[in-house]
Order: sequence, then C-alpha cells, then structure tokens
Amino acid sequence: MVSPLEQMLIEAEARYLTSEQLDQLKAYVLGWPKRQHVYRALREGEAQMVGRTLEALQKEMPNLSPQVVDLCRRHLLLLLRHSALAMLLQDENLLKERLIDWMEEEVRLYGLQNVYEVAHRLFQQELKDCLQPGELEFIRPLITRVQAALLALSGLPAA
Amino acid sequence: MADTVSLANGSAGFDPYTPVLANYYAPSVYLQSDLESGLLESRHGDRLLALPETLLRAIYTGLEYETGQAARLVLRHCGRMWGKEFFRRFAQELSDYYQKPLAELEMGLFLQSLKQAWKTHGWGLIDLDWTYKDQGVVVVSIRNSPFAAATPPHFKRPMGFLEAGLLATWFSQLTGQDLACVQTTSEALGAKSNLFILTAANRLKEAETWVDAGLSHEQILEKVLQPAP
Repeated sequence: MVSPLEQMLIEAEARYLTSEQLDQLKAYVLGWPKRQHVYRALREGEAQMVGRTLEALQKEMPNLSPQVVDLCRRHLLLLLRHSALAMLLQDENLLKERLIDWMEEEVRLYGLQNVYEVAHRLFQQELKDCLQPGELEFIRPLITRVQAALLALSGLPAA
Repeated sequence: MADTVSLANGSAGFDPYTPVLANYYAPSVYLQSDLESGLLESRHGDRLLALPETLLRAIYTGLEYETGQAARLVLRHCGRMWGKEFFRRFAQELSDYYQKPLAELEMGLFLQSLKQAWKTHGWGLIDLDWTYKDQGVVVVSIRNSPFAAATPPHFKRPMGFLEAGLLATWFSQLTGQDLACVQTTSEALGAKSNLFILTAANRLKEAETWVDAGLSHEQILEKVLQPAP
C-alpha cells in the first residue's frame, strides 16, 4: 500500500500536478519542520511517558502479572513509535497495516480489553502532561484512532 | 538487526533506537519487489513467487486431464513439499528475528505470526480451533482462500489438497509427529470457510472416502473423535 503522497505522484504521471495537488504538497512540506519537532519531542519523551503510564497502571491495577505489564509496555512503545511515524509522514494507513492488525490480535488473545481501557486513559493523560498543547494536537488524533480501534473490540467506548 | 538488543524479552529499557519486535510479516515491510529485475523477495532475502489465477486454474484442470483421480495425490504431494519448505523458512525467519529458537517462542506470538504470514503471502485468513486438542485434533479454518477461489466449478467436493498437504507437513514438522489433514468444507462449494481436520495420520485413513460419500464436517469430526475400537 502506498502513502497518499506517493499515490498523488503516481496519479500525476506525465502531466502537471493540479493546483489542488500542489497546495497539498506545499502543505506537506511547510508542515514538515513542525512535524519533525513533534517527532523529536515524542522520541525524547517516550521513556518518561511510557514509564509513568506503567507506574500509574500498576497502582490502579496492582494485580497485573509481569507478563501483562511487559505486553503493555511493548504495546505503548509500538503505539507511540508508529503514531509518530504516521504523523511525520502523514500516512495513517501505516497504522492499520503495521500496528492495529497486530495489536488487535494480541489484545483479543490475552483478553486485555479491561487493562487497556485504563492504560489508554492514563497514557492520554501522560501525553497531555508531557507535550505542549501545540504538539499534542499533532499526535493525539492518531493515538486516539488506534485506541478506539482496540477498544472497539470489546464494544467499549474509546478513552 | 543482529547487533541490536531486542525489547521483546521484558528488559526494562526504553532506548528509542532499539526496535520493539512485533509484526515481522507486515506486508509493506515483508514483501519487497524490484521492478528493474522483476523479482519479488521477502525481507529475509528469499525469493517469492506470484501465482496468477490462470495458472492456479490450469493446475487443477491440467492435472485432472493428465492424471485423472491421481490429481489429488499429486496436489497433496506438492502441498507436502511446499509445507516442508515453508516451515523451514518460517522457522528461520522467526528465530532470526526474535533471536531464539522457534521452540522457545511464546505460543501466542508464534500463532499470531503464523496468521500474519498466511495473510501476507495472500493465502487467506487462517484460524486454529483448539476445542478438541485433548483428543489430539485441531480444526483449521481458512477464509478467502485463493486456492478455493480458483477451483473449477465442476468439482463437487473440496479440492484443497494443496493446502491440506501443506498443513499436514507444516504441523508434522512443528510437532515431530506424523500428522495428516483432510478438508471437509470448501468456499468453492458455498461454505463460509474452508475447514480442515488435522490429526494423527492413522486416524484419517478413511477420511477422504467419507468426504467422497458427502459426509458433513460435523459427521466427519465425530467419526475422527470416536475412540479407536
């Protein structure tokens, strides 16, 4: 599957880009510095955000097995890293293909829906605490999209 | 890949440059093509082959024309060779990726990787039903199978001998036991999914004749589950 940007370039084969497409391309390029800034902020803040989420999670749910905590840690890292890349490249398809399909299966297999309801709420809070409001709005829709997809498995509303 | 420490094993690290191991078989990462040379490769560097539907159809009809009833045996035998190779490749890919032998992989991870591998190779959605595992029987379901979709319409029984052979050998290699596999329903005949019963070879000796006689999946499963006299 190609990204929307690649798709646009494929469609423009042997013709000029339309004004609309040029505007899209311009927006993509102009938005790059800001997206790169947010990407860096996420990379630097990852350890803190994920670490604190896990601490808070274990406080709220003290009976979680080490295996489940480890799975949560891995999933939070995957969630953040894939969302960051999808944000940077403005390619949401990447989430579905590389992340949601995989995590869905593990959430179902290990029956993690209840844990994730809590973990997702805590993680959203951490994002809010760690990022500036101007940064948060870049990454939040993507994180929320993945969380909504995972929580939809159990019919629970997304955090 | 080889010089990084993975985060898969519960280490507490958060190094942003250490990969978190997850879906090895994500299609956009696993399938690599080179237009220049016209080659398809896996991320492991193994060659892949794209089979056009016309070829799949021709394999069914050509084999039937050339060999008649023996077509089933030929297909099953091909499936067995394919299964052997696929298992070798799967085991190598996963143990290289996770840096431990296949036998030490967590069961959940292992099964999920199998499902993803199946899907990414374009063979459909595979699911394993462990309900009868204590009786030594696993029911495998495959939906959206390209092999069922290419079955010529004049066949009135499930023809997935290729997949049956593949599954039998794959699981034989995995468990070290002599397993066989019989297909009991087919999407080509209007079923919701292709069902396969997988168990010890000696328990399925009669199974193909039961399918020929038109027995349903449930009837065949019941016969297989009956204790040997």
